[in-house]
Amino acid sequence: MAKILILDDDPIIVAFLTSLLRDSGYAVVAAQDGSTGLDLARAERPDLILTDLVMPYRDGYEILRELKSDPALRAIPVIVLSMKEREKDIVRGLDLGADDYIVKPFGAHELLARIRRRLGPATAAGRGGPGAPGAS
Amino acid sequence: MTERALLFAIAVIAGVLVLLSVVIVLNKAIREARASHRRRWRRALEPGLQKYLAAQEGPLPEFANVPQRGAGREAAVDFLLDHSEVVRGEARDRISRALEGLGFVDQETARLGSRSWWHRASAADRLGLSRSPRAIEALTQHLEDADGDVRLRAAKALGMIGGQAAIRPLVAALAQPSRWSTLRVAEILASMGGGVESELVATWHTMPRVSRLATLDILGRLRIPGSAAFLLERLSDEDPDLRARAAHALGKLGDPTVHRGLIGCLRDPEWPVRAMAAKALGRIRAAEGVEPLTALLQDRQWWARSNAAEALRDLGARGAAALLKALDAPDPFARHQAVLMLEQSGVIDQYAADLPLGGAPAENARAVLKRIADLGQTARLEDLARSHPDAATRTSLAGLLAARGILTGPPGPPPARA
Repeated sequence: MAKILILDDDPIIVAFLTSLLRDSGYAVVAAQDGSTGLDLARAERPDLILTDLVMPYRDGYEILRELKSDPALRAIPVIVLSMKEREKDIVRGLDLGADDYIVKPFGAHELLARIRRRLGPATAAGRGGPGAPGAS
Repeated sequence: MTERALLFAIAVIAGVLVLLSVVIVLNKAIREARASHRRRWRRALEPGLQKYLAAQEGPLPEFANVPQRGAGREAAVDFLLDHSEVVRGEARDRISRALEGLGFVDQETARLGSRSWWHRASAADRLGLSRSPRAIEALTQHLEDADGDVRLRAAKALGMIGGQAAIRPLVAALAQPSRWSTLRVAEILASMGGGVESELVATWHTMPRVSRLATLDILGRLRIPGSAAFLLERLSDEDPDLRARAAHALGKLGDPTVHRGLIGCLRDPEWPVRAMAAKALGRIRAAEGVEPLTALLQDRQWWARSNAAEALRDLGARGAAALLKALDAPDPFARHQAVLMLEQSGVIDQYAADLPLGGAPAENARAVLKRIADLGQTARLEDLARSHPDAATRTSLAGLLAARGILTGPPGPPPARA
């Protein structure tokens, strides 16, 4: 089962994404700040990371920089999910190595489609299954 | 007797204080108990509500057993309103349908009829979050509310709901500057995106002047390429304010193919039109604009000259070449603006860096920088002579300025490392 790390400081979004992704067959881990998020990325080695840009301690840009400069984490696809919709913010995110950029508010099915494009279809085994450790 | 009366008064005051404290504590306890009750409901309902939002079909009762009244319903409504700002597309439509099914839209529509303005304002806010098209009619009526705050919130709510039925009354509201801040309504319309442009263009011929002015601003902010032809037509409107706003909007559109119309406006008899056309040519980066913009540096109006210089600054190497030529213009303002723009675009810094290179580049740089120094606008040159990171550049510049009696003494020390 593919594992997705969610990084967002908004508990409503974390809860919604966790439910959406689990019901779609993914295992989920989540953090609400950048530092914990990086630790989780190193410990859990997720298959994909969904990250906000504005977060406490370390913002999404820093996360991208750290991930892409670490040979062990570099290959993990990262999708930015942010309220920042200006072209320069999107370009900055993509330049720092984000594989995709989705502006909030987001379409749930569009997000799932973009994740499937990166990871392939989720396994049916994960549907409705118990949450992964660390999930909020 | 007096002492007794005093004691009695103190006892009464103490009693009232104790009573008040009890009331406050009780009130707080009741509110906390209610909030806690609602949180429990939310925790219980949340898994089903999450699944409802993520699903593509099926009504709310298939996913969560939400009661039609009480704390459970309130908790579900809170959850749905919280998520209406997070998601869009199908999930947002499902939020609207769930809120309609829970009677929330009808309840808030009824609150819009409240005597208290704050109830009406809050109802408008919540109806906006519901994004239910069923609320459009009631919200449209409250665009005429006696209270300005309610009118504005109703307008914002219509903006959030979107769709042609919500756009129409907002476009009509542009025509009522006495009751409305046109700017606020224009902002709301500009944020609504698709559909606004067609409504504005369709109603243009019946609009009063104030709506037309706002329309041109909105079209510029919407940046829909398809509106270029409409805006180009407005460049020949008989009202100069409309021509100027159309030129400004074309600049915001960023489509370089509209340069011909804008260049034509540089000869407009009204200076605001010339100024806005110059600004727009810089924004669309139209290389064809270099020559007419250079000519505009001699315009009799300072705003037109200033915008022409700024536009040339934004036109890359050809614009910079035109600004360098303008250093010899007969008009002192044109010369001043040329130096300023060369400074802002980094051209002066580039020439300064060329000084120590030797050969033709250094000679060319020396000639340009001498000309600038002779014009008296030496602030940037002095700054570079003191703090340029390259010692040879500092020395060359200091020598050039000292020869003109502008900077005396040795060049500055190397800048401190950050």
